[in-house]
Amino acid sequence: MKRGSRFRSVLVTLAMLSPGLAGFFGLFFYPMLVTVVRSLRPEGQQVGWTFEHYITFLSEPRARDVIFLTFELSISATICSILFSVPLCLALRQKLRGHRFFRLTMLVPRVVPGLIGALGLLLLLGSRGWVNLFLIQFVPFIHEPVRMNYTIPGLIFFYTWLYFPFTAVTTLSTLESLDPAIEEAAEVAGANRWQVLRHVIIPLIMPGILAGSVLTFMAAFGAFSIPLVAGGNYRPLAVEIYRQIDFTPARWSAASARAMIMAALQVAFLTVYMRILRRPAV
Amino acid sequence: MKLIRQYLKAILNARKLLIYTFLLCFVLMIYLPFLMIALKSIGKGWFGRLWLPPELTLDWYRWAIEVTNIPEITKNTLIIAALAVAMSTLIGIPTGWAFGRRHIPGKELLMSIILLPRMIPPIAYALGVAQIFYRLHLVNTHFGVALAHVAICAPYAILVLSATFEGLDERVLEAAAVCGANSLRTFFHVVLPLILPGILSSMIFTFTTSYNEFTLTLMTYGKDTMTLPVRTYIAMGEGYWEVTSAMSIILVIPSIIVLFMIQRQVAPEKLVGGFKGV
Amino acid sequence: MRRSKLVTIIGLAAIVALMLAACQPATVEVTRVVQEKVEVTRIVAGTPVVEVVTATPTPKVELPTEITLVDTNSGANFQWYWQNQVVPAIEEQLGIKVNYVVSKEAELLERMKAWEPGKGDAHLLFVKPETIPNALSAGIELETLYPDQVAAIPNIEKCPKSYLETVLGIPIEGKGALYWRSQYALIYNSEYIKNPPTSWKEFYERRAEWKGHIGLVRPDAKSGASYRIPYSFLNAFVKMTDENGKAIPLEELQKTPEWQDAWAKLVDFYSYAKLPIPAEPPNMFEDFNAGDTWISFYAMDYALWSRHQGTMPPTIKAGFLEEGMAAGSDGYLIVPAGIPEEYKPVVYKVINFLLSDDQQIRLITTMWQYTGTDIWDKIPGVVWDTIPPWDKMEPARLVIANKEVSDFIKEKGPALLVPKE
Repeated sequence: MKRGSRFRSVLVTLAMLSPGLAGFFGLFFYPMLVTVVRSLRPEGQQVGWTFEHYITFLSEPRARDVIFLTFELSISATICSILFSVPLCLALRQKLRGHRFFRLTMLVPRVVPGLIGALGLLLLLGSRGWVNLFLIQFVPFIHEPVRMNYTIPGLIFFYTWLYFPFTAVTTLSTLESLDPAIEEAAEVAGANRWQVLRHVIIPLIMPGILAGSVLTFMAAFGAFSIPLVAGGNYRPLAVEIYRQIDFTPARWSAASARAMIMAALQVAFLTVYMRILRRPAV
Repeated sequence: MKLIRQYLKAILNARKLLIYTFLLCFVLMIYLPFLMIALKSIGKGWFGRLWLPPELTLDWYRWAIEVTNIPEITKNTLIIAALAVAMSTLIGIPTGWAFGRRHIPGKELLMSIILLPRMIPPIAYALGVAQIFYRLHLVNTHFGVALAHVAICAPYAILVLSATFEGLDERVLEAAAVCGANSLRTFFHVVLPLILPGILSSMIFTFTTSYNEFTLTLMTYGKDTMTLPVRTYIAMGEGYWEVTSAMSIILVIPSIIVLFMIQRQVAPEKLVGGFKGV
Repeated sequence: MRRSKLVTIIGLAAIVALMLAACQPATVEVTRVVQEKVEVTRIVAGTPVVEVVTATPTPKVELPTEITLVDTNSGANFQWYWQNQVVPAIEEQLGIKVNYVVSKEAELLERMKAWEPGKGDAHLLFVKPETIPNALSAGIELETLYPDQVAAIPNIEKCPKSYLETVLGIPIEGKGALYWRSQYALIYNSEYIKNPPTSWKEFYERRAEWKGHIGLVRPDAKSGASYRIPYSFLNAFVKMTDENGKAIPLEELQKTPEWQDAWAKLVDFYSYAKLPIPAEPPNMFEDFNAGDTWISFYAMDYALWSRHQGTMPPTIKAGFLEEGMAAGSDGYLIVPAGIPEEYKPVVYKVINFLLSDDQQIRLITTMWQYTGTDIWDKIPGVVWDTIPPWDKMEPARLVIANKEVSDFIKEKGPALLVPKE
């Protein structure tokens, strides 16, 4: 009797889990397998195996540039997000008037499509955007518009704009779950504000910051819409993949090979990053 | 490092004024792009270096609605989003329940497997999804595009809902049983009100994700299932950025309104999938 | 313990099954084409047009009143024109409802290949010139409009014969009717440039005057401007076709000193462009609107119509370069042979209407696009204040006849031409 009910409960659990697992296998695992298999097929054929697509792509000198660019953009964007999020969260933590509004503002880049953010930033930072008008009119020594769109620093800014909320939200929630008693204790012990920040708060919220930065990195590494419309001549891996299937006829195998390289690079980087994270806080 | 230190120090010391200046810059940084789009979408003859457009017009909106057929596209977008929300919630509730309430061997591992799609760039499996859908004739159907969105939405729904179910207090359920409520009553009067906010926030989250989804839609759309983000992308390639801006405003306003409306009902942080320990 | 084993076994089984499924396509894929056919017929079934057909299968000859027009040529401006001007005019004057559909060549050809004879659902196609030989070589049959259908389409007589006989140097034997002639032209902002160059050679010699303000597009852009600009430039300095208009092989060409000189000039010319070189034309037009780009070479109709609509400055003008005005994508109307017979007379009627003088004059007066028919004497003279007259344009009109060169530009251009930053 008892065994029967246990068995039944296992079955119920499995039944309940099954939609999630079905979704996972059908919509993620199986597509990934198809991508892997396709990347090993000769272009446009359904039989035969070849490593040709990997070899041709990786032996191009351009491949190194593309991969480097992808990492350059996503890592810089991650660092910028951290540098921007930490002061922002410290400021928001003070519960100033209107902090609710600021908190919502922080989420805006996440709820609008990246494309539109990119369009707006292109207009804002363009040679006749408000930023340049401001610089030309109010900043001495600047008479020519500063080129920001379609440059690496500009792109990093676009990425940061779009992906910093991951870091900021995680940091903020860690910061708010801190026990105020710890700070008070430090202050009682005679530490000044800066020391409290440097030696107490930052180390305590470090795990939150880093966890958030992983999210930012993942999003930035896989970024597609922003570089597609605002990348100009800079084409990171995701855009490179899309260009392959945008040809007529589409080069599915070549695209799949690049996608696999991209996925492998991301997983490898994340593994290393997580290893570092697991160490005692910096 | 030194610079950062000084930067932080200044923020801490110079107090409120500095903090407000910083926050003001932050707000400007976020909203100015939208302001630029809005101005572009109603401006005419805005050439050269001018702060504001010299003439105002609604022509671009008319063009967006008449020529690019925005009403039809909005309808597609909403149908797809609704389907994606329904499917993700249907997947999320039982699976979230199992994760939250049941003892599962290797739960951590299983959870991280289900969340794996977040680790891989969407374009990598979008390629596979597109090829499978071509074979199954799901390309260019509302159901197909929505199904592709589920690949991204479902893991978040499971995550949010399993946290909700985990948060259910056993004692409340026991109390209900002690008071003589049968299981159906318990469910409707006790459990449902408790988990509703969770379900709601998961639905809102999946809705925004699907409404804004671009990569997977681009791979699986057809002429009958064009969505707003894809149309905006095509419009950007056609030139006439005034019209593109008008379309963007039509697309963006609902998102921002939803964000401000729901902030009291659910913790908006959920929209980012903000959770610790990745 | 047992439970975890169960989970593991089920998991492994699922993985193995999926692996097999993923590797197995060899057999599935053979039937894929057939399946696509099913898809297409499903789409067919979905359109109201076919409902009309199935509703009237009786031999009684009743002409359909609704046709589908698939457009793979028009840009945003002409999509607007078709939808707002032409389609309503056809409905009003001929009583024929037109479903206007925008598509891409590859997609269209794929669909047509899968048609069952006599069941095609795209009755009239509006395409780029290269689509005709592409369709023919893909085994898709097209109706011969000239001279076979002159009785049904009298206006086709007004189209220039050479355009009906060949496109891009390939014979098409009258399979298409010429609706418009698209033309690239010098586009400049008269606010900054008072006396524009009148030839490519002059443009090149005076490049220093406009350094940093010349609008070019990256050679790997999707737009045709990517290769048309450099091709027209090269054409001014080196002959790329022989006396009969046949392309000179690239390898032979590259050995000549003329080519090397022309190519060196082209590389030099790119270094005078507005940098960074825009990835696609919309970005170049953004530069135009900002006043950063003053002069470029682009599709005339697009620039002038944008000016008219207020999306480009009112000071934009079109100019003329005597040794090479690249032809844009001429617009051809074609009729697939695979559509139901009863549709053909209706479609011919629509083509005849589109080639009528009234419609053709509207084309040039509202859209600044040269007409497909030779009716120059009927066109209001004021048009020529804005665009160069055809008798002046025609001798300079340059058809991109050396495909090897344009492919070379697209492929190697990004590395060879685009200045390093």
